[in-house]
Amino acid sequence: MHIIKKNKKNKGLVSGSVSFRRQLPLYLMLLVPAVFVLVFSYGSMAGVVMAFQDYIPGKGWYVFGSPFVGLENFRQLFNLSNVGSVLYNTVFIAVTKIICGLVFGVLLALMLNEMRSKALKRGIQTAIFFPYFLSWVIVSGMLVDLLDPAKGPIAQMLAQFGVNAPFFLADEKWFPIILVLSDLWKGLGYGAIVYLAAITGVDQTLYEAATIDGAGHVKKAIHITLPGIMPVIILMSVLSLGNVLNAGFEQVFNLYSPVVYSTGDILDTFVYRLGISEGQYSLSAAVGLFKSIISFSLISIAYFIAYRVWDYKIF
Amino acid sequence: MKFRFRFFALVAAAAVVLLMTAGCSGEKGGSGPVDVDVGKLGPYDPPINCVSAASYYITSSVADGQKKDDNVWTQLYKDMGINISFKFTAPNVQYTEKLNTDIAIGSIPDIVTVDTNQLVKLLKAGLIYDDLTPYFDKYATDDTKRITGGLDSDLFKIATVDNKLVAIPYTDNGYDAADIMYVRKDWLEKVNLKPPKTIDDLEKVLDAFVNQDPDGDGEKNTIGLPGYKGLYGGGASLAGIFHAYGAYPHTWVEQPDGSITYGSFSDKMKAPMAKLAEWYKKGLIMEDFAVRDMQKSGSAVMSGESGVWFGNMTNPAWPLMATVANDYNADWLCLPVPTATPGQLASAAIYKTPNRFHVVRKGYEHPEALVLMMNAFVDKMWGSELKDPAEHNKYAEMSSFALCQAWPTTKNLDAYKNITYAIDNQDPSKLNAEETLYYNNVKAFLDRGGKIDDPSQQLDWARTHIFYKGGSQSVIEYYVDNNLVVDDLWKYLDTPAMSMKKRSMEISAREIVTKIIMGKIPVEDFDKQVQAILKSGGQQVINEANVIYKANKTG
Amino acid sequence: MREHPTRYVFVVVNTIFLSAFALSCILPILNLAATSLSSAHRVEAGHVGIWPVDFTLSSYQYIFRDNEFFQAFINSVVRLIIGVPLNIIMVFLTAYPLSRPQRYLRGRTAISWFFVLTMLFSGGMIPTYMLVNAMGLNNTIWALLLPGAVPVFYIVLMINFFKQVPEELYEAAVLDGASELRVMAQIYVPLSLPSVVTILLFTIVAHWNSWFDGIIYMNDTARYPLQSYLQAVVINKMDVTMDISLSTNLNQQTMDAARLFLATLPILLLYLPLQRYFIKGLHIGSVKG
Repeated sequence: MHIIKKNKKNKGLVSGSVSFRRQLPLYLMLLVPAVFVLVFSYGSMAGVVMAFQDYIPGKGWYVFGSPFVGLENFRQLFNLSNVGSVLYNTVFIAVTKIICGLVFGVLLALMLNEMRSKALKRGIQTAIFFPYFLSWVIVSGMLVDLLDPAKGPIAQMLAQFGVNAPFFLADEKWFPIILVLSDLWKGLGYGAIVYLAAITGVDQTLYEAATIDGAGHVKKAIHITLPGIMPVIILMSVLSLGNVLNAGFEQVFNLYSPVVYSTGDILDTFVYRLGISEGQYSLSAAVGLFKSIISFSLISIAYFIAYRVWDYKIF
Repeated sequence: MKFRFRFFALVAAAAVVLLMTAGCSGEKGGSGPVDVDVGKLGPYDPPINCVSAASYYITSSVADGQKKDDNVWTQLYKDMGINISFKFTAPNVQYTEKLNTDIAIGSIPDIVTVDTNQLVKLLKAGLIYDDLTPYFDKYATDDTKRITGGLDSDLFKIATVDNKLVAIPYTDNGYDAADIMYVRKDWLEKVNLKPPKTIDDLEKVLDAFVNQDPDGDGEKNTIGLPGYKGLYGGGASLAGIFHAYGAYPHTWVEQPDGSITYGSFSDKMKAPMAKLAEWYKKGLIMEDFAVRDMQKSGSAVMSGESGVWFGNMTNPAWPLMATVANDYNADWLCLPVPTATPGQLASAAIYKTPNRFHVVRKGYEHPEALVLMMNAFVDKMWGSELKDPAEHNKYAEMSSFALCQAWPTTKNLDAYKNITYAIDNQDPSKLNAEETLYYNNVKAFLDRGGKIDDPSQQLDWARTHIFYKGGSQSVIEYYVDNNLVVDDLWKYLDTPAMSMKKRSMEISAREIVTKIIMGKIPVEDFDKQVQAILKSGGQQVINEANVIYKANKTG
Repeated sequence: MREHPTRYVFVVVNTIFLSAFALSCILPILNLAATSLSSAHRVEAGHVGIWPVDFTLSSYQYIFRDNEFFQAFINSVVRLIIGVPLNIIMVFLTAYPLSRPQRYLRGRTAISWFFVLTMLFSGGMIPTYMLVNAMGLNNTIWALLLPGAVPVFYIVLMINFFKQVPEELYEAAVLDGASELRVMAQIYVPLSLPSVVTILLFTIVAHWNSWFDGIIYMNDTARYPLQSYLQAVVINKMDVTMDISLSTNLNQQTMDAARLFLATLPILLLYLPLQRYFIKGLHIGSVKG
């Protein structure tokens, strides 16, 4: 208690807290959203208890209902033969998406920045950002027809070059590639705009100085623009670390089929099938908890490093 | 730091309390059975309420003036003094998942149709009545007992645990699942080939259909054998090819040593897989069958791309009849599945085991309402008093909204025999209402000289090709008469390992077969792949299945 | 000004490359529109590119008779009308206090984490379903609105924007006797307009595009939002309509294309006028704490 008091006092001295009466309206504003979050997010978080029980429907998973089985569900989970490949697929697909999104997003932003025709630049921005707003249901619906190996436009285009279209959505090798490519198609515009927004914030006098020093466009991009948007790049990387186990449920769910489970099945679809299709509630909860813990640890570490090394805060 | 910790401890505590209350409040209402004085077809006075659930197709099933929650069936139940409300209505695929979520929170409808997996789960959780015997005994009409086979039938034994009937089976026609080979008659004539009897014949036909422009439009736009991602059964099935070699995938079969195994793991799978892989490589199989669902494969036939189709006996009505509606000269032959060994007939697998059951929520006051509604279903569809085909059709059209269904186990085969007799002897007097309905279609088609001249007559074509000589049921008759029927030997409720692993085992088995057909893995690797499935739980499923199978066989 | 030849080549290549990428983003949508407007047999034959072949409105005529499609469309619109203002109000109510310096809000960091944590941890599908069901929200539109009422990601975005508003403006307004709510509504929100518009569009799109919750929580397809309906019909192929074979003008593919295009159109119409705000709205460059 003593320490807390002292702390408070210190803070009070340093920052000069305003009176509680003046703070009150802010607390009141936060009240409603806080209740929502408490009820819906934290309320359902308590459901992780299921992961440690042999959940019997109707008996409830709370303390007096289904029996506790300790880590049994986790043991069973890691004995499932496909868990290894599911985990691998998830990380592989997610990390590839993150890296490609980052690299190509920055590259695209730099390229857009070099455009001279204002009208064309705006037109291109408008076009490449749009797919971001389409749902995966719509994109998947389009993709299935676009990638049809017999009559799809892509197959016909390839046929012009004498290439036999592979069977994109039913081919284990192609499926993850299609996932990454279609994700890039949908999300690259968004990434590029975020970086472009950052580029507009770079101090213009630096460019002028560099021009006087005789630096070329490439040099300026490398030595001024890139360092200038580094904070955003780091922030985006840190944020995306929390997505290492998010390989894109909506995308995979709408595109996959059993033929590509070996390379396309990811944790989230696995949880869905376990929990909703097969009714293995406890096992499904165990996978979910496992995923949350890993994601949480990763993002915490990344955030901590970013905070220590570069002094970045999310808020 | 400490401040923050206390803060979060508080939040966590609040969350736990919140969820504890949430967990408690399942739908557990009701005092259990109450004594009522009610006839076998109602009416209840005063009326009772009943919550149920229905599955259906999104757009096709709701006829004009009918609604999902207000249609001929709900009206009928209302007249019986049963006010039906639906906890949910869901498209057929989502029905299972919807029900699974409701089972998860322990809140199910009063009377509902479930699959084996769900039945086992509900029993374990004690959420349903575990003895319906007295209710069926007391309330089932003679018609219902006749059509379902009654308490002593094999089908009811499946749902009997410790001599108690825990659910009433959704009886269905076992023979109707058999694969039938449909071949475009007009195309055969065009390429000058005879109806295929063997796998080699079929290969020649497929090759001709792909390469010799059977539709005569000068373009190479026809494909060979359609398939779909589920591989077996329904329509666009590949099961018939396996049957040609004596393999019965996705069926429990007996092995020489008397044990049973899942047919997809049998050694006999290798030869047909090798053949299909060869055809796939030659371009004789629909290239993207592995991602198509049955409907999408069906549209390839509808648009006149394909002239060979394997599927069940209903397929003339979907998708084959569309080809005829689009092209009046088109015609299909209904043939038995071919054989790989000439001189030896191939057996077609059937699945007699019902995989759906009607259950009553524990605590519901009127478990007998299940039997009453089943009586009503039987009465309106095939009641011994029912003669008017229009009356039958009124209810049959909306049958996906009927609750507590039970179908006669050899209805369609009987209908075929009776209709054929009636046509040949010009005596339709002995037909029941449903048969009369089909008889009228067949008669109209034959009176028109065996063809149609307007799309509105396509149903005449389809029903003739199901219920008359040369139709799909005649093939079923041929299977039955020649003893070409293989019975699925698993006629029991899921074992614990099954309810955990059966589904993923089945999916993995399909995955292997698909990959071998597509040439992604060589057929030589089949054993290795099967071993992997067995190791990850498949063996346990098979072992448990054998324990029960042997116990029942000897006992 | 004379340019270095390599620079010239770069500009040309750059422009070509970017234009190609931009085209690749538009063409699939044009193909979708063309497919929905072409006759089925030309589509089956693979003749349709980005221009309709054998122009026909059959697919649309069919869909316009389909009550379920329009019911779903209306459900989605209702969802937007209630859900978007709810989200936006929550964003303002949360972002404003959390953007104020620590001395105006003790425990700010802890409260921020309280919100951010929910982005990282989730209880999973079944517990959430239990909760929603226990509250009696199941099968009502509130099941789609309330669990996601507080969009934390946009709150973080908004906090960073509000932080850029000069402190002097706040001081001046407070001296004039304005309440916190008033300061927020009359100073902070207008000054952050690009970000507000961006978040507005994002929430609209998020509501319009979500389908999973509809499938989970709605007990009747008549209550499905549009995307849930599309998922069921186009992706899961749950409607087997036999009478479409009667016409050679439409088939499953052209009808699906028409449905998908109709679902895309509102987003397109909204996106085009609002997109000019994005560059500024997505400016999260000054996140340094």
